[in-house]
Amino acid sequence: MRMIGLLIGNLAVLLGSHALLRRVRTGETSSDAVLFLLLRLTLISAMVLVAAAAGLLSPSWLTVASIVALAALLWNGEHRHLPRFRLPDVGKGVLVFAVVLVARSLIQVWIFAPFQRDALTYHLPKIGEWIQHEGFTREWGLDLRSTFPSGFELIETWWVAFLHHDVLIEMAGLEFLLLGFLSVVDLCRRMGIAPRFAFLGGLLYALTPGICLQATSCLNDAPAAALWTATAALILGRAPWSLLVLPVALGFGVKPTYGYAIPGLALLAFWWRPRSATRWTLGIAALALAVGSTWYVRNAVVYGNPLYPMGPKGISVQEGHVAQRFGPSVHGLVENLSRVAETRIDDHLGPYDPELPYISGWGPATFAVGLIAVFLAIRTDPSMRRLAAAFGVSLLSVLLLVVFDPWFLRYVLFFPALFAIASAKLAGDLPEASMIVWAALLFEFAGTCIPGRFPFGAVTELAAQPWRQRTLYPQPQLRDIAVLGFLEHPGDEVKIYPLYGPDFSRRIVLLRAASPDQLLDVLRREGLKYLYCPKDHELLQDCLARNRISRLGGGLFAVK
Amino acid sequence: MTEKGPPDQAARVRPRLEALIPAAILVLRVALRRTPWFFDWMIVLSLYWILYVFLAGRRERTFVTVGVMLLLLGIYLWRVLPILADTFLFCL
Repeated sequence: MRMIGLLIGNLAVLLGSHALLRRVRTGETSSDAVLFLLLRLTLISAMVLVAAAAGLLSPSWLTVASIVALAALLWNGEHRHLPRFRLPDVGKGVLVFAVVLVARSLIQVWIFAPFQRDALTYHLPKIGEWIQHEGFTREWGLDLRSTFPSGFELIETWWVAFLHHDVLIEMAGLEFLLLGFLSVVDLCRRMGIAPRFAFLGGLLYALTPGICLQATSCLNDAPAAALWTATAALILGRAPWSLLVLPVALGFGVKPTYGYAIPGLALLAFWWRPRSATRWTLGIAALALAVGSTWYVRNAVVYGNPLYPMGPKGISVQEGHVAQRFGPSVHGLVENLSRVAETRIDDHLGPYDPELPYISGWGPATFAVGLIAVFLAIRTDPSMRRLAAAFGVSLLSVLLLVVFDPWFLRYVLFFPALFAIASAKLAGDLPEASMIVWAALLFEFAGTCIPGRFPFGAVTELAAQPWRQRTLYPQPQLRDIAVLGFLEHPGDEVKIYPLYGPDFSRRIVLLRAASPDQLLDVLRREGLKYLYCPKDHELLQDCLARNRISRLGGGLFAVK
Repeated sequence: MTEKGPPDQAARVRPRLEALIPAAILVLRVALRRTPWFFDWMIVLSLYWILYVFLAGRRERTFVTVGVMLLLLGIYLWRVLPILADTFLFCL
């Protein structure tokens, strides 16, 4: 029944997005496809935001709202304006490959469970809170980074809320992977590349290992990159300026580092001047602005700083450690660029993994074909020269602003799109190069089946679990516990999200206490019988000594 | 050579001037190299650039371009394949 609700919800949003697209279409199919997906993401975000703010984020309310919306759209006859479905004319082999890629991605969504550290520590726990409380709560998580903009989490919530289960949570990433694909196809078309090779360019970008693996990892770097490429595509399509607000606002709402890459987009907008706004595009821009700015407004109201936890001293998650600095650093830029050229670009320091530890994740297509293709393209084609300049400026501005750490190339996942476009162009001009592109693509396909840092035997283990219980962190000692207090050691980063359970059936009470008495007071007030703290906390020592709690093992304590 | 020179002479000088850029990169790269030279993509690309500007014929350029692509693909796979094989064996 819940699956039907999800289906109706998606039908309503698809039809609603098309209804809006009819009013603002550009006339170019490839650009309209990008715009359509952006409208869908905006509508989903708006719907989840409104439902969560109103405390109606439950399967039944969402289904009722979806039925009403779908009925209104059908009553209005919007279904009569849907375009006829046509297969793209890109060759049978390419289509078969694309279908296999889609099928594999869906299997990954079905089998994978959230596994990545950042997702489990601070991206997803807030979704656990929202789903359990059927709306926004004051509590978003103990980790400081829980307050980061959560535009991507809205899309994940959409795929979770109807089912009250996270089995399809990775579909959110796939939506952005599709956006990246369509945006690169559109950029290729703007560079005068034939449809067949533009499609190949899209595939090259979508199969870039860093992008592809991020799509099923619940991380928001690839979505931010896809929104950057979508913005570039709309600029080159000379969309009205008000429509450019759509990807820009969503981009800022997904990840503030999107803003670090704005200079290249500004350069593009200088060369490809946007057209003037219309009434409908202004309305859509206002909606996107509302969606994207929510997090900044919330942080301004709650913490007095729209960019919280970023301050003049940067973001410090643990004492003495700056996770991100505030402002540019030329030394940082030189360090970052040097590492890209020396060690990261050929991915040899570690396996393909969405976190990109010590690798670029740009893959063999970029390394073997893209580098040469970009050289040849900027040597001969003025449009490609401008496009490459914009990509380069954005790359430099991001690397100027981010701290040099093992995974700093996560913030520039838009950059491989340049190599994909140039490679597609070269493949069109030089059939011999096309063979090498396909060899690299097939290798990338094989190399992105499993994230490199999956635990030992994880795929077999996940596939063997029934979908209702599917998780990488089963925590058998918590099986019969319905309500659990959680206390985090200040020096620890706990993967707290799996504690909620894949069906969000376990209520987690996040404990904030400054003294043992305060802790005991909260435990009593909340009626908690169990407490979970995987790393010994000094507050617990006193409670143990006073015999108010007892250790059960595995970080679990019983409250007396 | 001035702009007024015969076209064939101008065409011969321009590649030589352009080749100075990859030549400079090559010298710098060899001086600063941290990885074995045969794994170094910047050295490979600089050499390719120098060859490319001096080879005017389409066939020769195609041959060199495809050859360098295969070389880069080989370098990449040589370094990454063992890591990926580990991933498969470990995670399945």
